[in-house]
Amino acid sequence: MNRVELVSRRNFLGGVFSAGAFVLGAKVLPFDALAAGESAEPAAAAWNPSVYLGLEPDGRVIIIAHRSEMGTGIRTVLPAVLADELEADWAKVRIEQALGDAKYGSQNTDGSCSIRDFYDAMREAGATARLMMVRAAATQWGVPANECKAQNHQVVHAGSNRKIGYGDLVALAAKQPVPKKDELQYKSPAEFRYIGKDMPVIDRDQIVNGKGIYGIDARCPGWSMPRSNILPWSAEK
Amino acid sequence: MPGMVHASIEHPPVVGGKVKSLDDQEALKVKGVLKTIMIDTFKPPYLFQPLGGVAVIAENTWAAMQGRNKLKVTWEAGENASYNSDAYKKALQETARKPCKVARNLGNVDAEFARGGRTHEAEYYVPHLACPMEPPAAVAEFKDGRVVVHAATQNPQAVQDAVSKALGIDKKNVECHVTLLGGGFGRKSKPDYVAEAALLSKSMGKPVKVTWTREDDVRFDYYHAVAAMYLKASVDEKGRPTAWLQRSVFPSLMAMFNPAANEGSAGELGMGWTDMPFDIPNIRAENGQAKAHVRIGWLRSVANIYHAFGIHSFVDELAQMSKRDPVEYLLDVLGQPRKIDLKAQGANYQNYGKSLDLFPVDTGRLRRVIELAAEKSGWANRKPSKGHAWGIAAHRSFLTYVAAVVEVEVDDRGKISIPRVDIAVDAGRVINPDRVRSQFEGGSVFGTSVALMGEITAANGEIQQANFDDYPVARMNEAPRVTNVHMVSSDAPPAGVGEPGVPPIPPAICNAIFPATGKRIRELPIKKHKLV
Amino acid sequence: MITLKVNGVSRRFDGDPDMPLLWFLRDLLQLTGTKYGCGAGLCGACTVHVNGSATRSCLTPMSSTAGKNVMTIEGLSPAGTHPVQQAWKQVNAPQCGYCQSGQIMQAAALLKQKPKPSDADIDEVMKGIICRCGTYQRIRQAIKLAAGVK
Repeated sequence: MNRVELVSRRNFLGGVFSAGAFVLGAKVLPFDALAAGESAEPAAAAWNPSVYLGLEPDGRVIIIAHRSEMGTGIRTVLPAVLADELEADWAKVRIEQALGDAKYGSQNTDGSCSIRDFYDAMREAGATARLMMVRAAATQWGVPANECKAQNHQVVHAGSNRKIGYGDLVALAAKQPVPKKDELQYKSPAEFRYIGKDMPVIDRDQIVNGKGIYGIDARCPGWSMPRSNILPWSAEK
Repeated sequence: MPGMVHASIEHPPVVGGKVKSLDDQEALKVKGVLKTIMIDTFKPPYLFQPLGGVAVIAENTWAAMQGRNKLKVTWEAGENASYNSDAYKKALQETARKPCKVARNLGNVDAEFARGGRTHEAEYYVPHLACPMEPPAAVAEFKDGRVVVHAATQNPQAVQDAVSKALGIDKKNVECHVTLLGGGFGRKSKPDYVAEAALLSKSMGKPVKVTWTREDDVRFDYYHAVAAMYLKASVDEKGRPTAWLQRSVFPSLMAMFNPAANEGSAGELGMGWTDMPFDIPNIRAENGQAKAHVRIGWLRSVANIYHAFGIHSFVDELAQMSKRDPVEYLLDVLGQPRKIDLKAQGANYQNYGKSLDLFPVDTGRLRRVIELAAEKSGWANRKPSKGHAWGIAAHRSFLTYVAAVVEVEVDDRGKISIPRVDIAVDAGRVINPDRVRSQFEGGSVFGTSVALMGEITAANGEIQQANFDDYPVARMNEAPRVTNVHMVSSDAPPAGVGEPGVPPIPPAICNAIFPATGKRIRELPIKKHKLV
Repeated sequence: MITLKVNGVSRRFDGDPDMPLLWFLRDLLQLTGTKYGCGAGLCGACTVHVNGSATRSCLTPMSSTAGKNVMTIEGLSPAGTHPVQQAWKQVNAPQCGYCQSGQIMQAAALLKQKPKPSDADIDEVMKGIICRCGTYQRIRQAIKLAAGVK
């Protein structure tokens, strides 16, 4: 139903990712299209992924939050789903708020729909990136991919006790073909790191310090929202 | 590029009104005021267009507000000046007393009523509601045919749309940055205020921040719809319904997009009306016509607010009428666990945009949360007394099943307090339990505001409330002291959590007030009624 | 010319003496942690400390602030480690967060005055600060946590 692809042309993402980053997008088909059957989708239709994630050579994972944060925690919780399937270390995850752009599909944060509409896509994107990391490491080491396992921001080869961080795999991972959906292996609930856990929201500390920026606090010109507004919670612990 | 300036906007007191005359001499004398700018009144439909009016531009927010106080504006009110809440309520109630358009039918309600058994009927009413905590505010910078905006918005693409239409530029030339939102609740999916900032920035040649005052927010909102409902049931010797008729009449959200829209959309009717879950052989759900005279908008849980109030108050009335325990009665009326085929009963049910295969209307899950809420609240051992009682209501919305047991105390002066709420939730798989709990704790407070005190009214088209003194919301001492959230562990696909906490609260509160005081509340807010 | 201290820094103001402290803080000093909610002393979102007392900055004209010490959320503690802030984080009190600066400033003033507040003490002052998201239960929990009372 969803579709994950490598994103090469990404100007519209507003310079969030570096040139060396490995960037994936995952498309979410709206319910109507699902009901009509995927074949009903015109072949030439624009590929508008709702989910974007990138891995930077320095090891950071950047996830675009395309939903608005109004107190539900959504811009933490959806990225955490992706980070979980990616087996990413949350302390190395950075969340960036999306600009308005039809390329994201619907961004309307309304109707209590964010989790149910994007949970699967977030998992798929995360599982895809994880598998590409694993395959990149396997290629580098010349071992079968099924002997390698992703573990907390690293790929591990148990047989030779070798480990390599995600950041070091970025360039190689970007050269991997994007796995097909039926190649993906999702985590079992017992393996979840973040899903089902009481994670604090990334905005909590900014809010408590009076530094959260709301519409009424915005300024112009030449002003951009402080990047520090959007930090993983662990950075401020 | 010169520095940012601030705007405060005097909107037409009646929606759709226009400026007849403007004297801004005194306003321009206020220190810090730079200019006044007229904003054209929108052409219907409302969409997310600016309301129009007069903007006062100043060096800071305070100066803009002070200048605005000195404006002398006369207005041409337009056709919505006919809007009076009292008369409108009566008209909606009249409509609800007569047959309306059928939205769902099972069996033959009329034939069952004609058999002449015991029946019960009641009317319910819920007023307009409003208000997030942060008032609408946005910054826009127009430069060389492009606009950069920073806004608290639920829908940045709607911002691009509204701004591009207001300025006649391509959407691609509208860059929308999303800030944190100081509450959204549906208001901030409608970016009229962002379009205002963009228009003013273009006119000033400078970045402009628009800040609505609280009074602007209360008086010029997109309001939660008022609704009148009529319900009638016939019951057997045990008090179980044999036929159930429900009519709901409200101005539709669709009037935002089409001024001629005067019926509830399938989406609105699917919020707790056509999906009424009880197992009754004869059911008819109807919807009557109503024309909107203010901008109607989405508010947290939307049409579920009034539909849950009507249905779950009425079923409690039937339980009380037959002297049956409300929980036992509710479970009896829900019947055996089953998945309801609403299509077979003629309902155009949209199921919140999701497939019924993945997210069926499952009365088994509703039963489960009722049983859980009853168990955790100690329902079976409760000892109601004069001025102290418990009420229950259970409602599926946004694909999530919720039951609330509310403990209410009413003192001898009629003052209400809510020591405890127990909410049981089945939202499928839960991603962040703490944030789910917080949403339902908050929903409990939001629902308390709706029940106890929220009411927006119009007289000659003008909204009569303006700030938290005449449009109060629940404060710490009025809110439930404790809301315990009990989650059903589930592997079902994840469902909504932001809104579903609200709908069961008002009927559960009223269902507690009845045994506590003998007073049945059929019209919100409760503050309008003398309880002792 | 009015001289006052804001978060320990000396500040001058020579504008409209009727301008509320709120707008001086927000628009002129760009200390936007203090929020506008009602402009009428009804919601408490704008609460700051003036000479140590919780004060609604939306109703405090600049003319009354001469020589006063004003503390905003930004000045409560340099790193957000005031016991009230720490308790707030521990119970994950905020939802949208808009009212929370006012809530925290009010709570910090309460605990200075009454280090071990009762539920009634908490209600008495905290009822002045509206939270539309409905975080009251966690606010009460956080205040008790910070105070070390049950």
